[in-house]
Amino acid sequence: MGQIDLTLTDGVIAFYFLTLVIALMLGRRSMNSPWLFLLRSFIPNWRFFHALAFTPRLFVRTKADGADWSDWSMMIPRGRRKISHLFYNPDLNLAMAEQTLVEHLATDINDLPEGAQIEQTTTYPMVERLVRLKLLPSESSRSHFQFCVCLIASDKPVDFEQDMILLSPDLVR
Amino acid sequence: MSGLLQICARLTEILLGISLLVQTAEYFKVRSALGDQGVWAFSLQGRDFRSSSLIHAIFAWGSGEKVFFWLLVLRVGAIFILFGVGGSLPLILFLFASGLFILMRWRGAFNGGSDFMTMAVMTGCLIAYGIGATETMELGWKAGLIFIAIQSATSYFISGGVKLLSPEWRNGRALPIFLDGGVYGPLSVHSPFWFAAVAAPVSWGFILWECSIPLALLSLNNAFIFCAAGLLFHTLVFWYFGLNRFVFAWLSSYPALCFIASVIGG
Repeated sequence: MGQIDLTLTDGVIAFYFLTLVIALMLGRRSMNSPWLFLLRSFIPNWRFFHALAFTPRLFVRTKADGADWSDWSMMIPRGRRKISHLFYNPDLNLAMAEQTLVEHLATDINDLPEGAQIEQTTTYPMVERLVRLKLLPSESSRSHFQFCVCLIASDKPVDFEQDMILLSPDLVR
Repeated sequence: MSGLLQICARLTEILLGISLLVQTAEYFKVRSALGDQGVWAFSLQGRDFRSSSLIHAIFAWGSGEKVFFWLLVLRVGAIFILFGVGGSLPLILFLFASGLFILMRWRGAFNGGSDFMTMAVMTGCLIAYGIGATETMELGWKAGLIFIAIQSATSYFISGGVKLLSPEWRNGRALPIFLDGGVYGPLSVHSPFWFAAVAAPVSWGFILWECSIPLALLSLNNAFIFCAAGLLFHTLVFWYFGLNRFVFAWLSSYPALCFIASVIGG
């Protein structure tokens, strides 16, 4: 039988990982302070891809004057895989940052105080500008647009009636 | 400084430099998103700073397109000095402060986890040179590497632990759904990851490997094996989820893991 020697260092390591297990069980609270939000790189969240949940997605539709709205089209970051992207992948990383912005808008909607307007948040005008920049110049005749945010279950098709948490007004390009 | 400590300290600086170079090159390309017409224009994002007029004024000045461009140029210069002659307190302070400034302009993070780990490694270097300025560099680097190793080990343990607590990860259902909704999705209907017989063992492989980080700290050999597997893991995450910055950010924490393992395991 091999003998196991436990040192003080081993005990400290075991204690540290035990506290992490307890922290995992307690879960994570959301960050309400705007300054903590801006400085969150010092309060890392290591819970990557942790659970299947409702994902906020941005949808856009357009129309010409007096015409009907187009179908909703989902704006989702997608890219083509390339080995060179290991060293340089700015466009896809920007697209992922844009999706993160949509997720922050969904959080803002959820945390909005009673009587406050979502347009007064930092995130809403940024998302509106994101949509404006994504509108295709070739469809400039479709001068009106509208966007919405839906919380979509990962394994179900979108149901706009049930999933929509924000609908913008009819906006002009 | 002892030989191993010196090697780990220098390797940390070089790997951090590579990580920062990749990030800064990408910031050059996407900087128009922070410009006057971009989504992150300061005229919009400046609302985040409205509670402090001084900080608002500093960020308004630093967000000018020319100022921001030259900030990135200075960062590239600082990174090459880090490669060539190594760090110093003013150099690391500049990289730290400018990195924090850039992240705050992206509302706290641009690429999530890779930003967090980059800041953790940079904070470790700042601890090293901060202590080194008043005590010895040996003590400074020991403290800095311990800090980095704690952050790196915590990241793997938490990331693995939350998956272990999730039934969808344990039964293999989560993996294909994340791949399907990911940047290289949708997943082909013929993908083997849709089958639990494939997805569940792959998921368990990730979970067990991430949760095994305490064992990696028990000897230098264990740490080498863990880090080699880590390189493969992060390359797979890049290939399937497009997270290229994660590879370099975590790689820069590996010398610290190896150093701590050598101290603990002898």
